[in-house]
Amino acid sequence: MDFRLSDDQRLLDESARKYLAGQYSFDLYRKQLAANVSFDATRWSAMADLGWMALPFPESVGGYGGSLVDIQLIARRLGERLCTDPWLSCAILPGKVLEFIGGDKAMKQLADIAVGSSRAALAAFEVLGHYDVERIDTLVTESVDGIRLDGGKSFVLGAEYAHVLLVTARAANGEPLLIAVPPTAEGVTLKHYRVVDGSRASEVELSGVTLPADAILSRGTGVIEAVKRAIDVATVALCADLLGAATAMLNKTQEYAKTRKQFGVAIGSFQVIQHYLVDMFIETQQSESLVWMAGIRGDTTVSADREKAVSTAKAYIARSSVMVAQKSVQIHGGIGVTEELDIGHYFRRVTHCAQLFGDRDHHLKRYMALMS
Amino acid sequence: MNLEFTADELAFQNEVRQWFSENVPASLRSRSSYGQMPDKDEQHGWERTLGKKGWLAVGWPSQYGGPGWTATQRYIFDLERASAGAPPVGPFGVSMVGPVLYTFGSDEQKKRHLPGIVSGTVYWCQGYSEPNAGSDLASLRTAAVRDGDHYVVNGQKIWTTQAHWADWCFCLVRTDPSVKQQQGISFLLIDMKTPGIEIRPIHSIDGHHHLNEVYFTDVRVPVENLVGSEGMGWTIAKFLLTHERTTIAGVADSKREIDRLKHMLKDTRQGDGTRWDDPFARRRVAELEIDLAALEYTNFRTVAATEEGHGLGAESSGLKIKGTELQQAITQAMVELGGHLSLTWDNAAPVGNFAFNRTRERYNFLRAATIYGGTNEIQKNVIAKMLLGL
Repeated sequence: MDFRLSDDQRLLDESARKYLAGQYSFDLYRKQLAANVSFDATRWSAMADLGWMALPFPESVGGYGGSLVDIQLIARRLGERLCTDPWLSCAILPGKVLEFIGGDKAMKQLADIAVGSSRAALAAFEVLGHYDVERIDTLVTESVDGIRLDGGKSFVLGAEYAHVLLVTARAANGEPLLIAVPPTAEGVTLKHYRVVDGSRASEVELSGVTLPADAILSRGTGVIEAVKRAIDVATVALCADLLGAATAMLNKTQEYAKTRKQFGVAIGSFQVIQHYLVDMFIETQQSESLVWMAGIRGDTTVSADREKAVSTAKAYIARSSVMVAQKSVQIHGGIGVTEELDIGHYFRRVTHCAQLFGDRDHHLKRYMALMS
Repeated sequence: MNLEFTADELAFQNEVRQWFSENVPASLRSRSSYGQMPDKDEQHGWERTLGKKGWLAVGWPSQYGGPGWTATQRYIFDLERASAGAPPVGPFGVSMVGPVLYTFGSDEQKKRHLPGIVSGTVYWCQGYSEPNAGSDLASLRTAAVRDGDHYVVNGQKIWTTQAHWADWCFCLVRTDPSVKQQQGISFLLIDMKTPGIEIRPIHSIDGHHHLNEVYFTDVRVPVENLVGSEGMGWTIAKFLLTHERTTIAGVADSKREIDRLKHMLKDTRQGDGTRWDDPFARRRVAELEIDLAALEYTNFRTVAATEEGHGLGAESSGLKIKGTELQQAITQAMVELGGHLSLTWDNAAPVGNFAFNRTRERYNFLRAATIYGGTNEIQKNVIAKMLLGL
C-alpha cells in the first residue's frame, strides 16, 4: 500500500495551491458574495490554462485522462480557500455526464468544455425527488418536427454561467432521456439564487420548449447510470472539498486557541479546548483516509463497488466535517458567528457540501442497500 | 497511490491463513464465536504454539527472535489471526517488557528474559497503577530502597491484569523520593514468586477475574533486575506509550466482531423474519462498518508511513482513541440489538439465540478499553501537547 502522491500529482497540487493563493482571497470571495456572482471570466480562462477543465477527461476530447484523485487534489484546494468558482458544477460534473454517455454529440460538447470555451450545468434534480435522480417528472413529447419539453428542474448549480443545460427528462413511454437545452431557448425560465456556500444555483422552468430532435444526447437506462456515476465523481470531489475546508478550520482554530487570551492565559491551555481540538484533529485525519479511499476505490466501473466506496466516505465526512465546523465556531466564540471572519463562511461551506447531492442519511441508506 | 497488497503480500496472507486454519484450537474458535476470552491454559497454550512457530513476537527485530516482517505483513497477520478466531497475544511480555529489554536492557537481562517471552513460556504482568496514581502515574509511591545487592520493595499496585497468571512483573518504583517526581522513578523486574508478594483479586463487571491488587511487603529484588539506570523509569514508560504499535486500533478484532453481529442478527428470528429485517438494526451496522472503514484506512496510512520509515509517534494515541471507541460501540450495539436476549446473566437456560446471551460480558469488559493503557483523556492530552503544540 502506498498513500504517496505521484510527482505529477504533487505538481498539480502545488500549482493549485499557488494559483488560489495568488488569484483568490477571502476579500475577493466576499466581494463576489456582495455582487451576487460566483464566476469570473478571467479566472475561468486561467483555470482552463492550468488544465483544470481538461484534467479528468479522455485524451480523445483533448483531456489529460486524469484520475479521481487528481480531481480531489484541486477540490481540496478550492475548499481550503473557500473558492466558489463553478469548476465542479460547470465543467467536471456535466463533463462527466457527457463522457459517460458517450457518442459523437456528447463528445463534441465535452471537447468544448475541456478546452474551457463552453460551460454546462447538470439539471438532474427535481423538487419531488429529494436526492433521487430517477424521480423525473419532466416530460418530452416527440414528433416529426422535433421535441417539446415540459416540466421543471431544481437546484441547478452553475446554470447562470452555463451555455447549455443537460436536462434529464422522460419520453412518453417513460424512457429516460438526456437533452441539451440552451438556457436562452424560448420557454426556458431560469430563476437564479445564492446557495449556502456562496455559489449560485437556479430553478429551471421548462414550458413548451421546442427543440430539434438531435437535442436528445442519449436515451435509455444509460442516462440514469451516467448521471449517478457523474454525481459520484462530484461527491468524491465534495469529500475532498470538505477535507480542505475542515483542515483550514482546524488550523485556524488551533492558531486562535494559542493566541486568544482569557483569564490571563491562552484558551488553548484549557483542557476542554485542547480536547475539542484533538477531536477535530482525529476526525480530520480519519476523513482524509476515506477521501483517498474513495478516490481510489470509487474509480471503478463496477457500480456496487463504486457506490459503496463513495457512500462510505460521504456518510463519514458529512458528519466529521460538520463536527469540525461546529467546534471551530464554538472555540472562536462570538467572532465565529460574524460575517467578518472567515470561520463562519467555512461553516456555511461545510453545511453546503455535506448535504449537496446526498447527506449522511442518503448515503447510509445507499450503503445499507449494498450491505451483505 | 495504491491500496492493494502486493503479490508477495497476498502470498504471505495465504500462508498465514492456511497455518491459522490448521493450528487454532477448536476451543479457542468456539470461545471467540461467542465473543469470549480464553482461560489461562488456552491463552498460554496458544502463545506457546505461536512461539514454536516463531510467530509470537512478530514486531521484534530478528536478532531477538522476531520473524523480520514488514509492518504490512504484521498487519495482515493480525487480520488473519482475528478472522481465524484466535485471541490477540497478551501485550505485557511481547509488546511491552520485551521491547523495553531489547532497547534499554543489559546483555544479561536480554539473555535471561527475552527467550522466555519470545517462546511464550514466561508470562508477565505490568505493575504501574497504584490506588493514588492512576492517570497521574508519576505520583506513584511504591518504594524500592537499596540494601546491598538488593532493592527492598514496599507498596501496592492495582488494576494489575493477569497478575495471578504471571511469572514476572515489570514495575515502576520510586527509588529516589528527594528529586522531581518523574526523575525518581525506576523500572524494576520482579519475580512473582519472591516472598512478600500478595495478590488479591478484583472482580470486574463482566463477572470475571482479570484484575488484581498486588501488595509488596519487604520484597527483596536483586539489583541486576533494574532496567537502565536508577531514575530512568519514566523515560522507559514514555517510550512504551509511543512505541510503534501498528495494531493498537484493534481493527482486526473489530472487523470480526461486526461480522459476528451481522450473523447474529441474521440468525435471530423475529416475527416471520429475522432481526436483520429491522432497518434500525441494519443502520446501526452500516454506521459501525463506516466507522471501521475510517479507522482501517487511517491504520493503513500509518502502516504505509511506518514502511516508509516514519515511525508512529503520538499518532498512535489517535488510533487508540478511535479504536477503543469503536470496540465499545460494537459491543454496545450487540447488547442493545439483542433486546431481552442480551440481558441474561448466568446462562443457566438459553434464551433465543444463545450468541446474544453472551454479549453483555464483552460489553462490560470493554468499558475498560477507554481506561486502560492510558485513558482516552490522557491520550488526548498527549496529542494536544505533541501534535498540536498546545
